[in-house]
Amino acid sequence: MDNILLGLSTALIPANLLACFAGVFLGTAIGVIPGIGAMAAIALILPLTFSLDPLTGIVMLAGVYYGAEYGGSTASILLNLPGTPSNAITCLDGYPMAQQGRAGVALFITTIASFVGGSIGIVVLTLLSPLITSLAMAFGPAEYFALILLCFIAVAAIGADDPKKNLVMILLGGLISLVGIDLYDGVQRYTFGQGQLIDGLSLVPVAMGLFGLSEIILSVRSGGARVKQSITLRSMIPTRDDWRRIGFPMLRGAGFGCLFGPLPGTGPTVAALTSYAAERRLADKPEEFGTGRVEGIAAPEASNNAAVQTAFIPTLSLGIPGTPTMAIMIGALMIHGIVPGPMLMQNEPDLFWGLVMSFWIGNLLLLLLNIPLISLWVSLLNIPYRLLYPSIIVLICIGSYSISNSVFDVGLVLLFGVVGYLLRRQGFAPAPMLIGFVLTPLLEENLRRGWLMGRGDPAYFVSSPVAGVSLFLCGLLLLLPLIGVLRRSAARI
Amino acid sequence: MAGYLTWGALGLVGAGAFWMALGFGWGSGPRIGSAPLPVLLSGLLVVVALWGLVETLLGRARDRGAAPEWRPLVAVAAAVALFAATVEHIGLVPATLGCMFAAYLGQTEPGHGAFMVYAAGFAAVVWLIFSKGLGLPVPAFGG
Repeated sequence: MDNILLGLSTALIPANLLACFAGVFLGTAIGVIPGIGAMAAIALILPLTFSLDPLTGIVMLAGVYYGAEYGGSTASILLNLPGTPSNAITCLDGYPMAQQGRAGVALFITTIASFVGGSIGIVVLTLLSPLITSLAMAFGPAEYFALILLCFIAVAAIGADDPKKNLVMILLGGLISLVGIDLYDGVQRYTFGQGQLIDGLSLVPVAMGLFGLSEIILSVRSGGARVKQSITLRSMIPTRDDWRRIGFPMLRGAGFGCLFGPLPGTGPTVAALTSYAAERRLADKPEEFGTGRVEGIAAPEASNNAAVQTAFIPTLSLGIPGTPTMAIMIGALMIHGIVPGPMLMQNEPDLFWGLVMSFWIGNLLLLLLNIPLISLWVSLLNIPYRLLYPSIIVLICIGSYSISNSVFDVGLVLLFGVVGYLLRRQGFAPAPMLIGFVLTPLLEENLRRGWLMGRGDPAYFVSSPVAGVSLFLCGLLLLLPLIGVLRRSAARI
Repeated sequence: MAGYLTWGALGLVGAGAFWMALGFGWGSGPRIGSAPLPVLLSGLLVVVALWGLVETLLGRARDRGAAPEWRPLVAVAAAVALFAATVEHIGLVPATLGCMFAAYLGQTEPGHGAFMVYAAGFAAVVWLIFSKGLGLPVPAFGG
């Protein structure tokens, strides 16, 4: 209780309240634009937070994250174009509702479900984080090495059409993270004699290029859709039958979100897909899903917002991001001088609990802001995309230039934007590359420390139950696709 | 064709990184040097890229991908390059305008007049927010 009061007193400081409001507002505005997801939104806003106090900056970025997740559903419902990947499932029933003239109701249900899912996620985050933190206090390099490896393999293997492509992106991300001087040996790695590469590559231009610029190149030809209906406050009120039908799906969705949010490699997208599939299976008329069922919106929206909040559990408690968006959040924390992990809650409780409490405020703001502001977001979707995208490119250029007032970072954005675009056209997802970029230095550090502590004995890395179980799960994740291939081959024979 | 090029390029990147990593230093005893991890990562990259290349050659690739759309790619890349090349020499407002015009050429819809008015207004807002408001050390015009 003391922690919650401490967090509230920190979160309610006017600067933090303002940052939360600005983050939620900007995140929703950016998330509404089709194709520009939470990752790009955070990358775009990150440079704006450099001049802020660390907690204020992180509160703003967290607001951007869940604001963008919420905003993404607006484009899903009105245009059948998901703003973020986790909102893609909302298109299935949201867009048919809009076609039936019930867009207002769909948007209202999205807001309520997001609030319920987010709130349940925050309760779970508040209860579980101290437990995981106390466990993590005993973690050494072996545990961290095994958990990071599990994260890599889970990202490569789970939900991928072609795990090989995800693996390539992790490896590429890992290699570019090694650019710069090695602090252990003083050896320069992959710097090509360039002084600007000695300190390594910064997260912001890499993320802005991979997610912001490449996304824009992809959407230049497809972003010109228009909204054909106006949304009034009266048209948003659900019927009594709608209310009756969304209650349990929201709770079940939040449950799936809380389950998948903290797990490595899953996150909001997998949570939303699973909760939709579960609702369809439980429905009396599953064939009606995809034709405008309110449960088809309520469950995945509650689910992805719960997952957004619970994804912070491993990020803040262990310093290990389960999802690419959390990887960028970890990068942002580090840029602000905050080292996430078990010591964060102990050494800086005001920061930890202030951030958690700001999630409550942000969720409440989402509810209070978005019902009256839905018509504003709808009008934003009416701005022709041919006007919008050149402006976003300028913001990306200025944002990357402002990191160190150098055009070198703008050049990096260009490089990663073009490479990201070319790879995406070939079906390579950019998110695993960011996971590789953020986690490889941590993996190497823990490998080196563990090797030193184990005096060169590899058995040290399986000496504890957590490390052993994590490595066992790594093996299982690697073996499962192989078993599938063997089964299919056997069936063919 | 794009599939061969992609996997081939990835293999070459991996091979280059592997060759460079061999010279980083291996460490001694229980102290791991700078080379092992980049050697492992780049070596794996080469293996996976070769695997992808073979699958593509045998026609077993699951996703054949799509060729790049050159017009938006070139326009957006030129816009960013133009901004980088000009912002410190001719100022924030002209660099913003140049960037926006180059990016605009990536699409083919009509309405250039409206865009010019919008771009001029946006450049002014950008200067007000970033130079005046947030203290970005770039003048509106000139280097």
